[in-house]
Amino acid sequence: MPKARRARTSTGLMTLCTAASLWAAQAQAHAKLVSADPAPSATVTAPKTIHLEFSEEIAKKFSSFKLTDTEGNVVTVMTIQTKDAKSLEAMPSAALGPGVYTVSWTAVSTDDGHRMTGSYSFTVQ
Amino acid sequence: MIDWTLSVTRLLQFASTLTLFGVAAFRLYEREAEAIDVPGQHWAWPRSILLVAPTVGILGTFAWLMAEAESLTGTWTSWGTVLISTRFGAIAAVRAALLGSLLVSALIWAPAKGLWMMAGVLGGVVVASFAWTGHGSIGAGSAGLLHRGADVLHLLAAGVWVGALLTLSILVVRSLQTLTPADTRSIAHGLARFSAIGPAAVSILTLTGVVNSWYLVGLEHWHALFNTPYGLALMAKLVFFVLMLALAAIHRFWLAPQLQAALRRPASAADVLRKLRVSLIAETALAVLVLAAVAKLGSLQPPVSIT
Repeated sequence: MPKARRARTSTGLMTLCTAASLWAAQAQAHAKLVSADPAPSATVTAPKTIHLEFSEEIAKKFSSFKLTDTEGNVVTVMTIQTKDAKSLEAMPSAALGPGVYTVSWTAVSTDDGHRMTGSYSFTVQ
Repeated sequence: MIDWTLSVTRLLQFASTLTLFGVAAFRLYEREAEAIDVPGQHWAWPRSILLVAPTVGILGTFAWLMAEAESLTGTWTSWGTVLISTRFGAIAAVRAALLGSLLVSALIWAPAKGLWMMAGVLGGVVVASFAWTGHGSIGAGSAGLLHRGADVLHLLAAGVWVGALLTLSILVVRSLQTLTPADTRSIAHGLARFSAIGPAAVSILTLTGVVNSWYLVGLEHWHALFNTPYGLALMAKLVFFVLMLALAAIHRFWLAPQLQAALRRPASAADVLRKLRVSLIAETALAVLVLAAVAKLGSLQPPVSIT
């Protein structure tokens, strides 16, 4: 490649990268919980399903959540297949009584296999 | 333990596939390199690269899937589940299939231009695919596209550098055994060719490296460069990179002109070649350290995702 052309290519690349990085919104990284139903810290009537929405596509086979009641006992839930690649959903096998419940989730990114975990609580009246 | 196996299996994949792509690319832009191959000798070094690199790449890919399975499920035997139920598993399978087809071709055909072309194209696709199975996939929409594009360019430019380094190192080591003027001429020519391409590779690596850091570290997390494991591994990578640049500058501005001069005074060739042997091997070793740092970075949490 002649020198002048090489210099032009480099300058072009540099301008492109700088311009693009200025307008590009900063990206999210790895699967994080974006929203949940019931929402964290919410007080609700006994929910029929628990729905978690993540920031990116997850490998469902390796992602799940655990529901525990006020005493720390595990409440059995049945997983519901969602079409959306970013969410997890499950149904408590029995109606939830009043109390504080904790959702502990594990989400594995389908892109790089990174495992993220987190937990939050909600109250059933 | 798991982290360690994940990094090592990643390093095996990076080193083997960058070598494959880079050596093929070097041979395509530097035709003189052929002059030093011994014709008709089946186990001449270029052929061994076409056999060894894909083999290590395939083994590294499966070992990596097993390490991922171990990390996700606690047992490496579930690698098949990882392969079919994750996107990175599917991409790894495609990677192994491409390397497998290249290996079979290298077993059947002689390493002529057609095979090197195939190695360059398939090797390039395999190298680029790493942008889809690591932190390169972070980001959505147009931002994700730019990050991926930068990652692909970064990987390919790194391959060009690694391939030229390895080829020149092997050529120098071999020619020190024969010491024919033709060999010295080939190396001088190869160094000159790489001196023309090297700066472009370095500019691309630097620019795309800045783009990647923008996405994975971010301006507001700059202090994370000094107080997180990710930041420290990235700084280590940068130190190795700068040392490589220093050696590259020594080659370009000091040893390459000396070798050119030695073409007219063959008696001094051995002396220059011995210096080149030391610095080329040192630069190759630094390249391995850079790749090891990258392999480690893949297991660490990028600062941008820490909240």
